[in-house]
Amino acid sequence: MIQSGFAKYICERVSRDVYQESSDYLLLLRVANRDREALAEMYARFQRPLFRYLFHLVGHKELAEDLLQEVMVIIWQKAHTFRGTARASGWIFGIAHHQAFKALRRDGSATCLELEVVMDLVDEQATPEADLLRRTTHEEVSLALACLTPEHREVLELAFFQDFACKEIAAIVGIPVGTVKSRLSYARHALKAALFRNGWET
Amino acid sequence: MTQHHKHLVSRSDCPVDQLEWFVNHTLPVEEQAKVHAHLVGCAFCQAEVQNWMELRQALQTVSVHTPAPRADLFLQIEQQLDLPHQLAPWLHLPRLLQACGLALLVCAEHFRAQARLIRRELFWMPLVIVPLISLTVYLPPWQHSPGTAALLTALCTAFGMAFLYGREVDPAREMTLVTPTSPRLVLGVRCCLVFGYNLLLNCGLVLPFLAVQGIVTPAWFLANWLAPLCCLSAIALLLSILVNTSTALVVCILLWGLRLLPGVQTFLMGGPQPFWPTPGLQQYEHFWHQGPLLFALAILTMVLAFLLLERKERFSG
Ligand SMILES: [Zn+2]
Repeated sequence: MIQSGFAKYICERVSRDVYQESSDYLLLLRVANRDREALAEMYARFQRPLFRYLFHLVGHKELAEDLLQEVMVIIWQKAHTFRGTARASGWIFGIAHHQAFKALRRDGSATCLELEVVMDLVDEQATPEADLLRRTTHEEVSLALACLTPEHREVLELAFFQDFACKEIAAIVGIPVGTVKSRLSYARHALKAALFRNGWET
Repeated sequence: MTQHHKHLVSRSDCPVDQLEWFVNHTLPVEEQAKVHAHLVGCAFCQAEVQNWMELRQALQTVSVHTPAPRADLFLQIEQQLDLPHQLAPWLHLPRLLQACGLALLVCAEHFRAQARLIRRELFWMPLVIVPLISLTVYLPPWQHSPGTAALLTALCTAFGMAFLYGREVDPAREMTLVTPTSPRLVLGVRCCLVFGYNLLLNCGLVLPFLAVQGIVTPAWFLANWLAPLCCLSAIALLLSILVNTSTALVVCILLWGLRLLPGVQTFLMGGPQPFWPTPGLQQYEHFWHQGPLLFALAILTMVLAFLLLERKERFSG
């Protein structure tokens, strides 16, 4: 599976780098020049990933919609400040991160499991992680995700929903690369622990 | 590490912290190839990659079931963009600077216009009179009583102020009446010009005296020189608006004549004793040495002058 997919990965990557990025950048340039159509196109392109990210972070549809609106307005106002040193999508998610955590701080986030407790559970499990994840439904994964802190949900989201590189996540979240790695690894274990915990309780 | 992995041991050259990035295809192409080559011979890393892939897969299925934002959201975003949005405070700065620049330009234009319209005498006469009077501070007979110089320069400035307003003294009155400029603004600009000019002359001439000799101290200068000067100028302006310029001049001369009387006596008689010692006169003189009170009085008088000006212009125009 790994071997057969490798050539495909490279192709995906190259095509993404060459096509997607340059077009995101051009789109952002047009937005900076007050092009409403470009903003509409940008919304069409980023509405789903941005909304998914915001929804997974804050956990409320209405709040995520409000945040998405705020992010689009900020993109419109600040597009001219984008210098093109990073990917346009990274810049946009950086704005989304900022707005989402502002809202989370405002509301006071609550997690359903204490992570320290969760971590103690991890090593007691005999079931291989991969098997466990394969057997769970998306509802169970959602529920387990809801038990993580927003910070951990966020790195999982950025790494595996949005496929950002380690450095890009570091830039979006504003933390060192090492912290991204440890946070991601911690999130993986915590997610597994939450899956077990929820399974036991129901 | 789970029990499943207990027979799998990571090697020292295992790229353990790159596997998740291998899975989401974000490693640089050469790193990606290196990890790929390593995976062929390492069961531990293969299992780890498998775990990350399962995780990614599981998260992607969640993602499929995430709701979509409501359909009219972009419409709402566009509406918000069309509203005059609230800018962050620091974004106001360029606008603020622009507004300040414009205000300065308008002010400069007014000053330039009024400077051309004001009688020339108001500029060249103080230029001659004030230095002449101020010389008394430096000359031997009055050196130890700079009060006389203070009195005379104040009178000179007050005369200037008395000539700012009025049908008979303003050569450009008809011109300013037909322009949309408010009479208050015109008078304000003229006050600033003439008073500022006299103030500069006074300060400029006394400054070396303040610096070199100890007779005039800054506090004395403020309380006994500038405060009466401001007060008398304000009174002159008020009277010139309220009645006319001549009345203002007469009142100023009277007010200052009373103060000059003891000095004149001393000068004429050559003695330190005043010829007619009057307690009322002493109290009167004492009043003109209360700096803060005089400044407050000057401000009040100026405000009153500007309030009256509007009334007068409305009824006469
Ligand atoms: Zn290995």
